[in-house]
Amino acid sequence: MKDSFFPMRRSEGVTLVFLIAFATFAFIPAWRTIEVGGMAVFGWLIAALMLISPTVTLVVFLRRRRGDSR
Amino acid sequence: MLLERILVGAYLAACIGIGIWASKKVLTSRSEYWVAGRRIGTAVNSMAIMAALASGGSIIGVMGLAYAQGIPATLALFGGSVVGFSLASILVARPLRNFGKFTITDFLSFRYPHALVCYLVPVLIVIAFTIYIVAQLKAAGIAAEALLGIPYNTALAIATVVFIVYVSFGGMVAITWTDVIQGLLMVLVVVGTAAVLVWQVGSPVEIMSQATAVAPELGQVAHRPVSSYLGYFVIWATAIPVIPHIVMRVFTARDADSARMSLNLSMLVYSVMILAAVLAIVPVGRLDFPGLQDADELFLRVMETQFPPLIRGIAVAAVLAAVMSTTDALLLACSSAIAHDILGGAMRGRASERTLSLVRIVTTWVIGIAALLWAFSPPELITQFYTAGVGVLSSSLFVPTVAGLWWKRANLAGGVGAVVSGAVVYMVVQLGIIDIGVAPVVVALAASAAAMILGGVFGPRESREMVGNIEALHR
Repeated sequence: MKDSFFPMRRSEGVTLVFLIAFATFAFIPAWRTIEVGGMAVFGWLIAALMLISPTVTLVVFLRRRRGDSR
Repeated sequence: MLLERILVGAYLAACIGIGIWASKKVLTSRSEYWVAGRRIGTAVNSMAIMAALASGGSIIGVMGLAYAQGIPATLALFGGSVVGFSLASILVARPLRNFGKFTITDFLSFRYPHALVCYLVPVLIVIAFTIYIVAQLKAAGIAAEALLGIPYNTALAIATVVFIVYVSFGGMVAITWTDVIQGLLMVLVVVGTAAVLVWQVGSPVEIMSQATAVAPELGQVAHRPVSSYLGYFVIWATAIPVIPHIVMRVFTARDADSARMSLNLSMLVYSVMILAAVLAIVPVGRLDFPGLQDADELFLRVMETQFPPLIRGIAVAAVLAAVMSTTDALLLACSSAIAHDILGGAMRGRASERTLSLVRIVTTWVIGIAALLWAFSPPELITQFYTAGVGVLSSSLFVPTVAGLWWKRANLAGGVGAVVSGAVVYMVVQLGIIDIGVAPVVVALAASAAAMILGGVFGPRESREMVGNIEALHR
């Protein structure tokens, strides 16, 4: 099964799984009705995801590039 | 309104000036015209990517949508774009940049060499992007009408002619440099406006509390079906890695690392801008303008009442910048779908570079004018309108592109099946021909993936040569 795919770096695979897991968590129906500061928790989670997603991807990329240049 | 008109006039003149300057470089070379000679640096490309995505929808549309449908559902749509950039950075940026051609169709027709892919993909791009361009033109028209006092149709015609001129003659070089200016302008205006409003009221939390006390629906999402905002999220998360005007930016990067870095940096700036708009400007606007007929007017109303003429003039220029920075990239991608993907393939080897250059210019003008005519009778809620159009692309292109780059068993049968089934299922469900109560893009992506898996498992194995070619793209 694994041989059917071109290899992906472990750190990038983990980032991908983390982002999908975070997004899935944000879409859990319970967060639709619970409100914090006047807004559904779902909204706050997506707002957080909008900052976390590019930051994590950028950090993973920079670490990989630093590792490659050593 | 004289000061505002002078500022906007100066801005439009600068755009045309850049187009004329760039035309001296680009009109003699396909590589210069479509991908700016592949030498755009990281900082410039970051701002250009941000500007290409941040359209009229990201300034006028995001606030209109949040006003009309609440902040959480709106964030789902724009959050999808941001996650999409991470997917693009990890899944497609390196191999596509290493592929080194001009368009997403180039890759798909190389990976799945079949007439259906070669011709259907550019046709889908033209359909989706014409819808996208019409939505952008509406944003330009209402901005100029509201803040400059210019009639909607006149404003549309002026803006359209300006960006057709600099796109048709200046190609990707002109687009890149105008996008950098436009990106800086819109970040400055949106984040600056949000900062001033926060400073006036006290804090973002205070603004949200005041607004949701008066209009609780602004922070709510429970009254909406999950499928609607899940659909927004999925459409944009899967569209960004394959959407032609972003993919072309990957091809302009000087190398694969620069392409990935640009995607990540652009998204950080984009996220800050969208969050500033939605969490600061929208709540204040909702308090000041409770019963707007056209929600897309919200940002312009806020600017009208809160700021002096000079700032309003800059704001109109920023809205036009947002519209033009996306529309020019869409127009170039649309033009490339016809002039490069369809006509270029048919004329290759038989037409001179001069003839091909003429074809590029004429194609750009035809698409631009067709979109202008449609925009004279515009749709409501522009962000929803063009998101539906983009759904066609994500449904039909995401699976074959990602599988084509990562799955060794992806083959011609699977690729053709994935493109066709994704497009057909999306249109059937989106147009309501079959109502199954699930977001159309989710069903369409599932159909596209099923076709890819069936083709890959039961169809003939991909040749060793093709597998070797794709493996080389990952190095």
